[in-house]
Amino acid sequence: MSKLILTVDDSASMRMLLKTSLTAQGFRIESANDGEHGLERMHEVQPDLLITDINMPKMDGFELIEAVRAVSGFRGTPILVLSTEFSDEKKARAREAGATGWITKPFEATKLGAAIRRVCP
Amino acid sequence: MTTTNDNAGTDRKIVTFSLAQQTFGIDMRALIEIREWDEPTPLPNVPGFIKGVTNLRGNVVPVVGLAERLGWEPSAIHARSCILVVHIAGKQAGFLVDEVNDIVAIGETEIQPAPEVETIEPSVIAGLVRIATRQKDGTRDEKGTMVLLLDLDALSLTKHLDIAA
Amino acid sequence: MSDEFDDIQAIFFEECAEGLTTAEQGLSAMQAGDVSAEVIAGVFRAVHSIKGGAGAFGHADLTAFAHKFENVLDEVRGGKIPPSPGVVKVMLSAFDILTDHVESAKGLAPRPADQAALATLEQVLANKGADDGGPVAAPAAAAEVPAGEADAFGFVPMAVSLDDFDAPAELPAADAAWIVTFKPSRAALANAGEPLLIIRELESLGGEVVAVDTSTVPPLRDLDPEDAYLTWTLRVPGEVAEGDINDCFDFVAPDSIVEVRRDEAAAAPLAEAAPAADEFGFVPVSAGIEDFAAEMQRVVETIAAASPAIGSVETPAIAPKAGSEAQQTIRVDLGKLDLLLNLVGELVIRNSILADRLSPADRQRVELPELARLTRQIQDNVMSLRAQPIKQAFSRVPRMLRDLSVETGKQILLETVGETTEVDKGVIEKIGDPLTHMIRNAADHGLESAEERIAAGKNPAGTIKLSAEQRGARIFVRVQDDGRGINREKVRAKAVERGIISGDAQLSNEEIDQLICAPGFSTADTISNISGRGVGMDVVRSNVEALGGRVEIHSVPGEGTTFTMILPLTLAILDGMIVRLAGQRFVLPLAHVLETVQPEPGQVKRTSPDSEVIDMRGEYVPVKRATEIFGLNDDRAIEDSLVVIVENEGSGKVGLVVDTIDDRREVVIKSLDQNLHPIRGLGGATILGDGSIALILDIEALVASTNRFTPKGLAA
Repeated sequence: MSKLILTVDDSASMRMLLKTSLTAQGFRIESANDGEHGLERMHEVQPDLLITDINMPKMDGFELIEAVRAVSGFRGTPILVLSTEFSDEKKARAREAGATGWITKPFEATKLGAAIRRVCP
Repeated sequence: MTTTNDNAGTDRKIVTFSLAQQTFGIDMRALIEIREWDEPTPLPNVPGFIKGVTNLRGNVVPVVGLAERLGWEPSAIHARSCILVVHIAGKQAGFLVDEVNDIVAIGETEIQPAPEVETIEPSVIAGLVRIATRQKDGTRDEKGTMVLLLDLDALSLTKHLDIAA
Repeated sequence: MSDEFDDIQAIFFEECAEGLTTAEQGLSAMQAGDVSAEVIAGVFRAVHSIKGGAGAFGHADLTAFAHKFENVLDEVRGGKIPPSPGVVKVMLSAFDILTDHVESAKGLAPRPADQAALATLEQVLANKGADDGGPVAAPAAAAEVPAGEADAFGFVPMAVSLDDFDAPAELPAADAAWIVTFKPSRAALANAGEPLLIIRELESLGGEVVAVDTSTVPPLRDLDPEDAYLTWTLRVPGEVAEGDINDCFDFVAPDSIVEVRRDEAAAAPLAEAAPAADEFGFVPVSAGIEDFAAEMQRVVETIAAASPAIGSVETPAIAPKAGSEAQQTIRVDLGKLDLLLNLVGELVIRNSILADRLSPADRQRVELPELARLTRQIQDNVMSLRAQPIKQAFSRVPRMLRDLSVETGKQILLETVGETTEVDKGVIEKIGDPLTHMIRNAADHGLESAEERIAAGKNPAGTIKLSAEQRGARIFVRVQDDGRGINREKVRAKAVERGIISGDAQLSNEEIDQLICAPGFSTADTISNISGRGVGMDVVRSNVEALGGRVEIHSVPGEGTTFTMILPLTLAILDGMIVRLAGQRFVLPLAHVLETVQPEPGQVKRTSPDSEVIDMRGEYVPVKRATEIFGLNDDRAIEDSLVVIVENEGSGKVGLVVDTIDDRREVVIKSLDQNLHPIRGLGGATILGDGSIALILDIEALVASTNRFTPKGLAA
């Protein structure tokens, strides 16, 4: 059974790009369009990996990651941040929130694949 | 039913038809369909050459008396009169002609520039081409016929707005 | 795959449009004084999203510009640059350029000249927004585009020691392998990090584990499964790029000890680690590979056996949020919607025809009204699918006015009312151009210059008010200016000069105003770029009429002019009365029909050689015959005909002479515009059940034509 990835991003085009890229690499994809929705989907689909953007309305990426980590069952779920930002502060903040890794947009499919392999058994 | 010119590079296919003893042709790609003549619904407040509108599979399509549009006497309707429904500038229109003749493949290089034909609006003719014609007895007349190629865009119905306004 | 990519990119461009709208609204709010954190954050997010997507789809110029813009917004949002009016103005200009970049990215426009805007943004960043009027910094050669590979953060690779090489200051031989040391810390494991995966990644690059230090692994009872005790040493082929190795440690690096350096010794399967490793507390364990693997296995097994299963996911019973207010939307292909609409239209027609075929008794049975009601419901729902707020059509206006303000040198304020009014999507698409013309007219001709306005006792800044309102089955879209009003003397004189009216024609004020819309008219002495040759208003009127609407003009000299577009709410389906005129069938919109009479002898009176009236209970209503309107043959005596009294709201009544009335039916309106062009007097055509075409009469034109003003040309 292939791995299930939940992608959270408020841009539909980005979600679709990710889906196309990841499905081609053999993953199954679920998606959500903001932090709140993402948290719900986490519970609903129990993915093997969460990939989330940072800048989203309602609940941003950091808040989502913190909320996910607060659920004991999700402590072992790898979380990747996918964002155009790349500043040290942001990355540190993501790590503190509980992110496992960070990918910068725009991403190459191979790099994305490698990043996923590094965090997702 | 396609006649081919001997030297044809078969670049284009044209549909030839008769109107007022002249032979005309249009690019086959513009042709949507050929219909039997059916009295269109007349429209008010339009130039005389717009005979009205007709129902083409759910679309309201204008019917143009091509002879009148070219400035001649209106065509008489007879058994072989038909309407050529074509694409012009993104729209559809039907042209009343005397008879549809043939579909002919011609080479792009055979088209000669349009001469000054005094009875016809110059911009309407895109070019001339000579084609071999098939006679009723089956023989081919190599001297053939001169076909006046129509520039459909020049016949666009919305152009007349500038003239008549 | 590229088709799919295009589809996704199309969606990205839609998102850009939404983002631009949001950004513009936010910036407008800021300009009006609302600089709350929420507003600023909204603008930032919008620009940030556009930048993000632009990068993903490879639009370098757009990305670069958006990036610079985003930088400024980030500083404003972070409080480092105050959102002063000057800064907001800069951002508005930047927004306009951003819009142009998006159009350019779509391939619809050339690349905009953004050097000036970039320089200004740069200056704002440099001065932190202080308006000190300093010299504009030289345009940056190229805005920085975030690199796709900025992963090596927090990691400082050790400098390679060159001392042991034969040739000093010589770069290490290309094939000198890398020695990678990795000691993850507890924190590295905390975020579901899995060091083993990183190791595997290095192995996939060609690396191999050469040593594992287990010296710090405590006895089992003291073992904390969430802590890290192991240190790995790996050897990775020299051809591998250092960047690739660093990538593997990307996120865990700050919490771990990672060392990557060249192996200065000759290639040997088990290299000795350099003594400098002491700083890291690393003591190499030179064990054979097999031993190492066995040891690892043992350690892992012990840990696994001893600790409770970590990572079992609890599944708390969380009910889905009841009554979630989040509005779920779905994107629908407009073509599919139109198809659905057509089918509904057909359904409506078939319904009507069915009703016709039933005997009167059967028509009363409950099934038919039920069917009709159901059909009507479906129709309303499908129509509403196409309804969207008219805001979309108004979105271009602020930018247009900014440009116009610059071009005309006039100060122009914009007021917008009723943006949320919903109209059919087709209307939104078609009123864009008319709206543009009317606004340009208002700005160019309607509004006076600041000096003139002051002299007239007005506010030097002119106001254009854009409003939309729904009243019953109609939408009223108004462009109102508080300018000089229509100069009727000039208009009349021009119309005479152009041969549009005769010199002695008697015209009411309203009629003179309408002359502006006549073809070939213009009051501009010079052909201005902005409003063209006055052909604009003619196009406006014909566009609006093609939609089944009309244009009203109301002007008060010295006070201003209002142009009103009155449009039907639903475009496609009409409740109609089928009548016969001179043998031909026409459709009268039932909404306009007041009553029908069979005239008594003498009820219709002739008041002049070319006009008649009918006496309706003391009120004299003008009568129109087919011949007058359409030039059709009409020999019937009036007594054999019927007169249908129709009314155009606000403009008067007309009695239309018809041969017979066939029936009442709902018809689907087919626009004449599709293959022909708008025709005065007609509101479209419809295809009846037998396939024949019936023309739909335009009541407004019918009533208007009773006014004795007869223009030359084709207009009825």
